Amino acid sequence: MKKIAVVMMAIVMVLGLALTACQPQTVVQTVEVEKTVVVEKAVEKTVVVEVEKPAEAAEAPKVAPGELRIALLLDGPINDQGWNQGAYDGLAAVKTKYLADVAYSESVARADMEAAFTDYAARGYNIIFAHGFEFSDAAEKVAAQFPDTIFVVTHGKAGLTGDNIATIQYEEEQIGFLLGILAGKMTKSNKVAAIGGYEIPPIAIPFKAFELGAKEVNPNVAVSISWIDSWTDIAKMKEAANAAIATGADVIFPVASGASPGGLYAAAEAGVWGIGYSGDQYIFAPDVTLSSGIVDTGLSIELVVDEIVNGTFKATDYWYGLKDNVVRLAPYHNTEDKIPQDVKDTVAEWTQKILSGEYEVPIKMEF
Amino acid sequence: MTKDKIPLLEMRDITKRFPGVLANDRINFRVHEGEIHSLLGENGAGKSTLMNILYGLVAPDSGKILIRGKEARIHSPLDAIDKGIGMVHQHFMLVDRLSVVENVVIGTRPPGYPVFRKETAVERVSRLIKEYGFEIDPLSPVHLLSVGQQQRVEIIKALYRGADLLILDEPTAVLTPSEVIELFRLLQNLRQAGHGIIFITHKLNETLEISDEITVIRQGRVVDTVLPQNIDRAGLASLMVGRNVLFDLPHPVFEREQRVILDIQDLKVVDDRKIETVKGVSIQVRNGEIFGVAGVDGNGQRELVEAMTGLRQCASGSIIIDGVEVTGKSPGEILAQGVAHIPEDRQVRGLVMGFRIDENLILHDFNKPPFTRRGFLQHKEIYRWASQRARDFDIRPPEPRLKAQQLSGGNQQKVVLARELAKQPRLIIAVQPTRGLDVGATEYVHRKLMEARSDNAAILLVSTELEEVLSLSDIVAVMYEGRIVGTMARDEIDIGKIGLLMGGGHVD
Amino acid sequence: MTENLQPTIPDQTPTGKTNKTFMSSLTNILLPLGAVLLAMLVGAIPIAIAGVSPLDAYRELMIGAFGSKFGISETIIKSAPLILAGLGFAFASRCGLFNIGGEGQIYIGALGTTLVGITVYGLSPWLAMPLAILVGGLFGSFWAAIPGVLKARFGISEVITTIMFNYIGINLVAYLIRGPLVEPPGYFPETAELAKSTWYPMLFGSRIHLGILVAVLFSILIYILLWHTPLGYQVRAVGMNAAAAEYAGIKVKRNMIIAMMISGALAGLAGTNEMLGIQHRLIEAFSPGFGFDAIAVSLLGQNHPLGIVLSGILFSGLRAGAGAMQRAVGIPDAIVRTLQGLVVLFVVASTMLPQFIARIRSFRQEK
Repeated sequence: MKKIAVVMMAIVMVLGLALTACQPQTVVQTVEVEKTVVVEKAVEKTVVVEVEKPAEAAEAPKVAPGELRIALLLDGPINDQGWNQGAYDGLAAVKTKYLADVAYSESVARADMEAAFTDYAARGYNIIFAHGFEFSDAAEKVAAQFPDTIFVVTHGKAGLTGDNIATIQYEEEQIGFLLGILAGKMTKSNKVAAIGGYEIPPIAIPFKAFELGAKEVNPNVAVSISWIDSWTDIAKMKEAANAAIATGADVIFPVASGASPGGLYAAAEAGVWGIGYSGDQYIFAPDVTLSSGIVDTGLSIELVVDEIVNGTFKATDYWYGLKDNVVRLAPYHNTEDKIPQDVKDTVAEWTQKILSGEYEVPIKMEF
Repeated sequence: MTKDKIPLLEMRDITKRFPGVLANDRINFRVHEGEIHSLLGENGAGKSTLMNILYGLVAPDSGKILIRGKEARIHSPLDAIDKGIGMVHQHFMLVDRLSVVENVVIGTRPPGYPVFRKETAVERVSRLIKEYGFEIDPLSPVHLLSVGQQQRVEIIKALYRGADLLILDEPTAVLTPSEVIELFRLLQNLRQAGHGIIFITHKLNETLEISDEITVIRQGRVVDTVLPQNIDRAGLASLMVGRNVLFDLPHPVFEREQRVILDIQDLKVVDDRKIETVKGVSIQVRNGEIFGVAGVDGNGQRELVEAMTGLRQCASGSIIIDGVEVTGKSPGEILAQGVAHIPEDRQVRGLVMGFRIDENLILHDFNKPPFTRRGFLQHKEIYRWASQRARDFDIRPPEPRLKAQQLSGGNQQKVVLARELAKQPRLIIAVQPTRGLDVGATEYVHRKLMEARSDNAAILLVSTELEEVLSLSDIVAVMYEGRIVGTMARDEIDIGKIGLLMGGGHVD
Repeated sequence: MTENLQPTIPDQTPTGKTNKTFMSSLTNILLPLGAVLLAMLVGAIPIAIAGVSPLDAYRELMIGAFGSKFGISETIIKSAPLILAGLGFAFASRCGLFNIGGEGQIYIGALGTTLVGITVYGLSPWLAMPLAILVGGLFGSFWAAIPGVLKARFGISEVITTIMFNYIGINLVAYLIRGPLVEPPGYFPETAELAKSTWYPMLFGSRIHLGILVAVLFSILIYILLWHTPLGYQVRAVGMNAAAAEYAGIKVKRNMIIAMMISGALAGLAGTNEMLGIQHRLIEAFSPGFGFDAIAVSLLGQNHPLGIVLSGILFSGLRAGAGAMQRAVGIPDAIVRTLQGLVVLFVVASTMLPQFIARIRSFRQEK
């Protein structure tokens, strides 16, 4: 069995050779690039000194606008038309706005999260966004080892430990409530169906708020909530929506990432109302989509970067909602003329109540 | 003989090297029309390689093949058939459910193509059958035919494809004595019709009886080409093996107390298809005695042996080994009764081919001292013991670290013997112990069995090689269709009678 | 006639053997080597299409795998589960069984470890950690024993059942972490954190944890078990020739069940490794397919513990390097995965090549 050892060693060696063989050519190509990198690093060092001075007080690290190097970790592909794409769009916006140096990794596996954080931090990225609660533990661990790097986890576990780690939370109950008002007003049959991907808080919470909103304006409404246990199965979503329509529902509210269009297709075919979520989803069923509840994760990333640039960043949980425009109602689009003015007025009225703080949707995430 | 005529086949300076072995070394070989030419050699001598080259299965490194004086390039069996070469393999390649005619025509462009005009095919095949005297019903399904008849179907297949040179690979190995006579009659008809026949064999008597000319191959070279009238059995054997071979082992008679070691009473066994293939067999074997079971393959011998060794459930009856009932016991429990086994197919049942020789030698006792102590295998001890066994049993090369699959067939069988005979067994069950072995190795196995007999073991020998059963056994039984149809002691053996019993005939 | 198609080695000349061994070890070196290079050559095409210089990409891959402190430590961390699961696959293979259920066994093993980890708060690490390891192994063992028994008693193909048990195991874990085992108040689908006393300690002041030593230890143990104990002897005999083993009185069925149990225990320990070394709580999708990669690891390692350690390091290096490459040069995840798949495909195919060539040669050879 010695020969196996020989074989494997040889492979490793040749791979190593291939590496060194690559270098001469690349050196020629990247001379200029490397220079700029060196400059950046020098600047970075001065930053480090600055931060270390007030180290006695627990304070978040600061990054100057010209030195932004931002990395984004995603749990899925950037073109998923939903959760991950939103964050990617935010990264692109920040890149344009601050001429930041950006990088991203798609579909990062659970086993690779720590490595990905560590590697980006070691490569000198000073802000690392991670998009999804499942990054929380790894981010917390790595953040402790890189005190000068800022870690931000969207939808992360609230209250992560560390002076350089923050989370972004969304007041999804606000938009759920407003959509509930819209649905409660528009239903004729007094039956409304919310269909979710999986029963997890980011969906269960807006659903609860949705029910609350609907009942607020229409005490007779019955909101049915069901789950299809998939983020991708459009056909299954469509089936669930058809079943709801068959029992009399005339407003369908599907929230299941990539599977959501199935619910809107079913609504369009049956001629009942649909409501979109996450992004502006009227494109899937332009004539029946009342509106969509937008959770603009991209904007939230931009807002946190702004805080960092302004020097106001804190290691905390950032809550974004209607007031920040991160959570908002999409335009009515083609249904503008089909929705009675009093319905629009009611929605606007409640939006105002929430914004002014007169009303607080009594549903909160618990940790 | 008309040696000046252009030969039907001439193979010139054929050389073929496999990694580590020169299989054919400048072999020259000719066959004329109307000639039965035997190709005689031990296993591994190179005759199979030579025939595979001729049939297009293996490409030679150098050398030429001439058919009727013209150089022929044969790259595949299709080329070979096209050149008029037909091969009858040892294992038939027939479709059981189809008729003789269908089996013959299959794979050729049928008469009436693209439709199949069956009447024309039947007519053509019937003509062939009549012409050469095959005596076979062209419309009978193949599975209803005897082994000998199936072999004839294979020959008809070759003739139908226009073969004028026939290669027969060990054709008598599967036949009863009377079927051999029938085959030889057919071969003579073919010879008269001008066909050339290559007859591959290691059976010396048959070679002498049927051949016009004999070419002997040893270690990849032609040793000699001889005429049968100029040589005898011993002469052929020494050409083949390269030394003198002892044919008739002494069969000493001992005066000693005998008791029944193996006692089988009215044993019935069913096979995998739930068909009863052993239909009430009773056998007693005593110590110091070889009990030979003769019979054509497939008459229940396999199931009988499997039942005795615990691999197959018995339907009814009992098996007692030295007073201990072992019916329905596991193979391990039966082995523990002092039973040794030389299984029919050493590569399937006898050896773990991927194991080394030493690992194979401890297959029964690996978990007992001295091979295992305190829960660990004692490799030094195993190696030492295996080296000793390899020397005692003349396993070549005597290196216990070689894998079984690196040994020749004869040496593989020696490993089995070395393991099985090592424990001084009370009962030895030997099934086809020399199948596929060459003359030298066969002689060795026979001598070892006779030694075990001298050492007072009871030996049950099951073999389809009648010669082997007759030369070794004290008592000969004939098995036919699941029954023992006749038993005779050594001094009352009548070959004619045995041949008749093997073929299912009745003897009064 | 077929018997003689294979050349027999002449009785008296062991020299022929030496020659053959030399030749075969040479091809054993060159083949996988060529395979990796060929895979990289083919993989260069999509990388170039993505607008990245393949040479830059491969240089980053090598640095991320074997060429930096970070790369080496990532490679070592990721090699532990691959080695353990690879040993598991190999052990069943040695008994002639095809255990494709490594992935499921990993999850069930992790479940066992987690059950210990979330109950032994306050117990000394000297007791808690071994207990967590033991129970992880037992759970994996149990999960593989079921297909083993089905195979031995009823002749049901272990290939089918182990594949099915992957789904059952993975979904069972998914259910448990949402329901009975969810960390209160049940916001995220994950269990509570395991007691710190069960965690693998970190080594060399890096992220490398005890798991790699556990994996090496089990490689040695499995080597001893296979070649120095009667049990290993029986398992190998059954694997190479069950008919002969049965004839010799070895209990074939019992050995099959035992082999499956040991195989499953090793895969289970790969799950334990991820729990105690990386994740520290049971979550979904913590294994990015270690159970399947293990098959390739085992094949390339020729089912030998030493070979598996080395091929496990090679494959983990590729995995670590691929992640680093994605982060450094920013090529899409799909291309990274394509490259990984190509390497596995080419390397595994190369291990089959010698037999294939030999067969072609012996069958027909043009001059």
